[in-house]
Amino acid sequence: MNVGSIKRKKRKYLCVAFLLCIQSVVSGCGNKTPEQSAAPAYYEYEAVTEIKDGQPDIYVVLKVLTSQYWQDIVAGIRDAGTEAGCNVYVGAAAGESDWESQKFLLEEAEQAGADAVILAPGNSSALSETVSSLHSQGVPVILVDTILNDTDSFDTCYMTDNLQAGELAAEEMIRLLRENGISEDASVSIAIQITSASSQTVIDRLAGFNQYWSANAPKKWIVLDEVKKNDGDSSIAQQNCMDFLESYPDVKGVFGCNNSSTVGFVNGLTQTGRQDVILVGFDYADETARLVESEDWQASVVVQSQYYMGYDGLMEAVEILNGHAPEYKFVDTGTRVINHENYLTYEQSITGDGK
Amino acid sequence: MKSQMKNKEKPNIGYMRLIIAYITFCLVVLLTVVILLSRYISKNNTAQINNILSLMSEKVNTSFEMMIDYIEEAADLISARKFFSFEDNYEELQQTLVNMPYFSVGLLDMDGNVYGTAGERIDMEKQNFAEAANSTEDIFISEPYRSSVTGSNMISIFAPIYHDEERVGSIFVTYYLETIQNLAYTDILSEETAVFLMNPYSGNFVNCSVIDNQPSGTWSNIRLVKHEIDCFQGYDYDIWLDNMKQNADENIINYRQDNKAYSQAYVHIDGMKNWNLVIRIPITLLSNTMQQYFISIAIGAALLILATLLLAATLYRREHDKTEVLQKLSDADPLTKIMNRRGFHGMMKALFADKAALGRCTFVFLDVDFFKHVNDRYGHEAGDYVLCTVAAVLKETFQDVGIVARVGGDEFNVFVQKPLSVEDMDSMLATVRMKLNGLVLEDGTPLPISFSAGLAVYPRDAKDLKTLIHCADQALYHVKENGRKNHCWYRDLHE
Repeated sequence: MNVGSIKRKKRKYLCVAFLLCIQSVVSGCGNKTPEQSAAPAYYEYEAVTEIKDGQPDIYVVLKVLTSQYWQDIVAGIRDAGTEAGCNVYVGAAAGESDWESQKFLLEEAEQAGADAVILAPGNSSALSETVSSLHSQGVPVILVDTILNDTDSFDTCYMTDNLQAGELAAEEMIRLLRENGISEDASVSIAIQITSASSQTVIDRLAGFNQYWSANAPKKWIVLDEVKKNDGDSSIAQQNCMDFLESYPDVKGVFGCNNSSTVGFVNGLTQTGRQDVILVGFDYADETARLVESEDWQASVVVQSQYYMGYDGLMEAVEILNGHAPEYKFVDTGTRVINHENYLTYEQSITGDGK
Repeated sequence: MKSQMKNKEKPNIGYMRLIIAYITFCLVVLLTVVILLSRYISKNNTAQINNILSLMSEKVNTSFEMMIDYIEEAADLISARKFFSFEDNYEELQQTLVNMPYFSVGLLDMDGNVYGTAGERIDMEKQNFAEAANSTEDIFISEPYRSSVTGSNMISIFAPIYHDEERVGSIFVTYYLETIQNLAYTDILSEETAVFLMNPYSGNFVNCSVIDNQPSGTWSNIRLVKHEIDCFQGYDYDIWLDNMKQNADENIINYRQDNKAYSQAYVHIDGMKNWNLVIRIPITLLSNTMQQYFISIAIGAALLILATLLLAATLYRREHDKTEVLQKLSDADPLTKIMNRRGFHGMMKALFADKAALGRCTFVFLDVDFFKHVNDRYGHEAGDYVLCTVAAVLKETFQDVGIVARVGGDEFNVFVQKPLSVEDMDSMLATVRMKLNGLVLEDGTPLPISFSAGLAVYPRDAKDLKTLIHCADQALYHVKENGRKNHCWYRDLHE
C-alpha cells in the first residue's frame, strides 16, 4: 500500500464516518445497526516518516491519537523511525477500548505486507488471535502501553509497570506526610479515586499503592475503604473530592490513579482551599502542574516514559528485522515522581519532544 | 333454561369440592416437601461445599509444601557440596529444568549477584528480591510479579544455601501463576474453582487463573468489590479478613456476589509474608446436581397429581354419564319422551326452593278433552298418537319459554318461567289449538282433538307451588264445567 492509496482510503473513511454521524443523528445513537458496527470510524494509517523505497514498512496501531500521552508515543516512534530509516505508518482507533477498529487496521497492515507491527492493544485478550496470526507469518509484533494476557505470540512489550507506579505514588505520599510533620500517631486517612473499575491500568496503580501502604505506612494512617469513581469526567472527579473532604474530616492525603482523577482532586482542593491536604496523582496536566509548581500546596505526580515506549518499541522492531531476537518479553519503561523540587528539570526535558 | 341447567349441575358441587380439597391437600403436601427438601439441600450443600473446600485447601497446602520441599532439598544438596562454585551449581541446575513444574531455576549470592538470565537479573533487582531472600533464614516466596523473561505473572521461591555452615546465598525457582491454580485442580470442579492470592492487609488479590473473565495475574483490590459482597449464614467479610490476618481456624466464608452464591476458604502459605491462597467454589455447583433430583421429584409429584385427577375425572365422567342416563330414564315419560310427573315436580321443587330467583311465572294445567272417548272409539294406538302429538306441539310451542311435562294419563303441565303477558299466553294456547286442529289417523280418519286448560300466575295468584298448582287446577275445573275446549285464568274466576 502506498501513501497515495492510504490518503484516498482516508478520504473514503472520513466520508463513511460523516455519513454515519448523519445517520446516528437521524436514527438516534442507541440504534446501532450492523452496518454501523461493520465500518467503525478510526484514524486511517498516515505516514509519519519520509517514505523511501527499500526501507522496511512498519505499521503502528495505537488506541487513540487525541491526547498528549499518545502524541508523545507517536513522537518517539517518528524519531526512531527517522533515525533507523523506516517507512512508519501510524493509525489508531477512535476510542481507547475500540479493539474492533484495531483489528481492522491490523488486517490492513497484513494485507499491505507490513514488515513489522507495533500495537497498543485496546483489549488485553480480544486481539490475541489477530496478533497470533500476524506473528505466525513471521511479522515481528511489538506491544506498547498494554500487554496481551492470553497469548505470548508477540516479541516484546514496552509498558509501564503500573503496580510499581502505584507503589511509587504511595512512597511519595508517605514521604510528603512525614515531611509535613504529620505524627505517626495522628489519625490520617487517604482518599482515592479512579476512572472506572474496568480499567486494569488504574486498578494496578490502586493495588500497588495499597500494597506499599500496608507494608510501610504507620498503622494509624489508613486508606479509606471507599474508592470513588468518576468515569473520566473531571466535574464528577471534583465533586468526589468535595464529598471526601466533607465526609472524612481526617483526610490528610488524596491519591488520583489517573489524569482525570488527579485533575478532579486538584480542582476540589483549590475550590475548598484545603492546602493542608497532600495530593499525589498521575500525569502532568496543566492544572496539576500549577499545584506542583506552587509553594502553597503539597503536590506530586507520577509520570510515565511514554516517549520511550514508542522510541524503544520501534528500535526493537528494527533489531528483530535485523535478525536479533529480543532478550525480554516485557520491558518496564519506568516512571518517575515529579514534585516541587524537580519540576523545573522535568518541564525542560519535555519541552518539544515529550521525552 | 339456565336455571334449569344450574339445577341439574347442583349435585356436582360436592364432587367439585372434593376435587378442590384433594388438589389443595396435594399442593400443601408438595409445598411442604419442597420447603423441607430445599432446606435440607441448602444445609447439606453448604456442609458439602465446606468439606470440599477443606479438602481442597489441604491438597493445595500439601502441594505447596511439596514445591517448598523440592527447593529445600536442592538447597541442602548444594549446601552439602565440598567444593562450592555458583557458576558450576548454576550450570548443573539448568540440567534439571526438563520435566519440572517450575519455569526456571537460579542462584543469588549474598552481594545480590544473580546467576540467571538477563531478564531474571532485571526482575530480581527491580523487586528487591535479593535483599528480602538473603535476609531470611527460611523460605521466602515473592509476591506475584510480571516477569521480564516471559511477560507473564510469576512467583519465585527462595531457599538459603550454605557452604561450610556459612550462609552464601539463595537458590530460587520461578513458577507461572497458573501453576498455583493447578494445585487446586480436580476433575469435577476444574471449571468452577477459582484460586486467588490475597493479602488481607492491603486488600489486594491476584487471580491465579481466568476468573470472572479476568485473566490470570490480574490484580484487584477488595475495596473495589466489597460493596457487591453480601454475606449470609452469619458470616462477615471484615471478620473473615481479620481471621486471615491471624491465621485463625475459621477460614471459610459464604457470600453472594452478582446473584451467585460462593463459599471460599483461605490457606496460609508459609514463607509468603502476608499472602494467603484463597479458593472459591460456587455453592450452586452442588445445588445444580441436587436441583436435578429435586426437579425430578417435583415433576414426578406433579405428574402423580395430574394422573390422579385424570383418573378421577374419567371415573366422574363415567359415573355422570350413567347417572344422566338413569336420570333421563326416571324423569322422562317413555311414551311422549317429555318430562314425567316425577321429574317435573322435582324440578319445580328445586325452582321454588329459591323463590328470590323466580320472577313472574305462569303455571298451565292442561287436559285433553274426552280422551277416554278417543281410546274407546279409535283404539289405544290412536290414543297414544294423540298424546304424543299433544306433547310434541306443547314442546314445540313452549320449549323456549318453559318446561312441558306429562303428569297423568291425558294431563299435561306447562311451567312458563318468563313473565309473558296474558295476551301472549292466550296467543300461544291458540297456536297449540290450531296445530292440533285437523288431526287425522294414518288411514285418513279425522281425529277431532281439543283441550281444556287452567292458568295461574306466580306470585299474583299464589305464593307457593302447591297453591299455584291448586289454582291452575281450579281454573281447569271451571273450563271443564263450562263446556271444555277453552282455557281460563284463575284470576278470572273471581272477577
